[in-house]
Amino acid sequence: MKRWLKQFTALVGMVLTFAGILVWQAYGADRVYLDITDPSFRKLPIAVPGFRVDGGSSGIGDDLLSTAKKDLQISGIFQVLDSRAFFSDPQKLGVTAAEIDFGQFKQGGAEYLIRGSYSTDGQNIHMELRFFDVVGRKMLLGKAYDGKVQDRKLMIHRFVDEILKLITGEGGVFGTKIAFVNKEGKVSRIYMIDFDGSNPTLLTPREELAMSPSWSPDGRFIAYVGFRGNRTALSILDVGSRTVRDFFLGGVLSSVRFNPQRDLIAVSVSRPDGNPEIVGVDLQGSITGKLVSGGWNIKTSPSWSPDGRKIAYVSNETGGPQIYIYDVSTGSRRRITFSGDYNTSPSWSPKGDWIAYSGLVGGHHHIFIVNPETTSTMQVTNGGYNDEAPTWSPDGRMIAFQSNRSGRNAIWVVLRNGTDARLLTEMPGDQILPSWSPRFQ
Amino acid sequence: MREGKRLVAVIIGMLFVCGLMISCSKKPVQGPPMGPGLAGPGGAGYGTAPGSEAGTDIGSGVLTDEKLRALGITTEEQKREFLKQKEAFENEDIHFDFDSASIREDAKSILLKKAEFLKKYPTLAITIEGHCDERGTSEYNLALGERRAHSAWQYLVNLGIAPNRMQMISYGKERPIATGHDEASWAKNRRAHFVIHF
Repeated sequence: MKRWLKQFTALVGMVLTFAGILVWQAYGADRVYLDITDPSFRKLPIAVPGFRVDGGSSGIGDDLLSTAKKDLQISGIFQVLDSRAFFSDPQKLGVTAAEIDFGQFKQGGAEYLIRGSYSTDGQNIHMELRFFDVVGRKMLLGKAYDGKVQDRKLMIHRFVDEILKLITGEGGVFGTKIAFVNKEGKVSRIYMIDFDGSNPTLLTPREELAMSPSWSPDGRFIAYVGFRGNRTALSILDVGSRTVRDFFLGGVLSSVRFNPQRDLIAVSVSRPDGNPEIVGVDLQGSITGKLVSGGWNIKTSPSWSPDGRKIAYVSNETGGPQIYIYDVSTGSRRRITFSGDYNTSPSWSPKGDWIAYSGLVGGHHHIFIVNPETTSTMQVTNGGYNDEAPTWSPDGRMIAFQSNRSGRNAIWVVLRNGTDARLLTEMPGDQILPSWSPRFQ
Repeated sequence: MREGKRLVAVIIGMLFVCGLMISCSKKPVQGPPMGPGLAGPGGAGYGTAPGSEAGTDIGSGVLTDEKLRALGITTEEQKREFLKQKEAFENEDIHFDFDSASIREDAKSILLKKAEFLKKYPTLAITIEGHCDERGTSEYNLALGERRAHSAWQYLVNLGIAPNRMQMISYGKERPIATGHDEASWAKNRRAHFVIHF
């Protein structure tokens, strides 16, 4: 994590904007951003020819190209065209608007184009990336990056992120991670993996059984339920140092979730002399107050609203599990799922407009989204397998969840409209209970 | 037929425990794999936060003669009787209906036997584990398993067992005993399991 941050900070310092003024002219203050959530949204066809080598080693060209294509695909906004249809030799293709034959790309169906070039000098790399509007025959964004060869993917991630900001008004999920539980035999440990499925990393090598991971709003900590002999602890992992602190709250824990605004953790705990309740716990392990309480019934899987004032949670007070919203400030409470008799695992979207959850329909669990105000509901996934435990990407465009569609449980990512399902975890064991990190600043 | 099977199971269990007693008597006593306060190398690792409660000592899991004497067991006959009842106590789970934590009729007689055992050996402490079948979702099952353990706990408290003798935990659907994907397996996994601390 620290390595990432260092690299990222260093990179930001090195970025030179050489087309800032041009961009500003092209997109004034009245720019209308593309609403990719509109049902009529059609993916933008983009051409990405191979990178031009301007000096030094040419061995990393394929890596740069595949990174750029994957980033664009993951965004859910672009349809990457097969660039072989356009060119045989990217070395001979120009990189500036004046040099490019836009008609050729237009004919091939492209509306947008990315041209990249680079040169290396030992461990150093100079990379120039340009994003063009093919129809308007102009450059929309151009950036030069200088850094280490090993950081080349970061440069591309950053550029694609800039493109997303330009097109939609909001950056993508570049640099984010997804924490999850990996079950191998009887051992369940917390891992994290990059947003694009690279770098799976074991975070808790000493755990026997860990459940319910949840990122802190600053990305420094992951809270989870740690099993300690015959007790459960609120365990707080410092992701940087990999140290874990345990707090025993005098009862059995079933789930924990960080508040997205501050260092407060909602913990579902049941103490022998009381009822199941959701309490607030600070980073020192002190209970700051009861959040949801009363009655013998289950209260678990708390998910905070983005403003940290409401909590969606699961209760079985009417029989099967259903999803409720509790307003922490007013103490009012209401049910929001009315279809089906087994609705669990709520996850509030970053913008607050939806709550994703897992609903049992036709004998299988699938991902649904429900509007917390109107309670109108949409089914996101379907099929003859189980999809559970949704978690939103920080930009609200994607949902990660666990699914056994490949035979075992693994973490999958879909766009919010249910398309573009992508397998994130390709590793031994069963991967469950994903938690998408915030953007690391 | 069932009685016969049970008898065989009890005998096998007794042999197993006797074997354990013999084979373990020379070994150093080991704690559970993730005991509370387990410190990592170099100080970086797991620690129990100050102020957290000590919890019930779940012991080493090894039944020594010394521990038997502490239970008031001095003769071979008493020992045989204890081991027989201990096996039944730990092997006989109570079962639940799908998505339910209510104590079923068939569980009540089992819990009554467990209460009698706990009254006969009043220094014993136990953990009640709640478990679920694979059909529910992971996190909800952890909560449901807790309700199942709590139902059994409450029933035993009502039968006069001191609450502080019984620890509870839920494993949700993480520790199935039957791995099939059918009602027979699911029914076995929807259970409360009882473990004695030694």
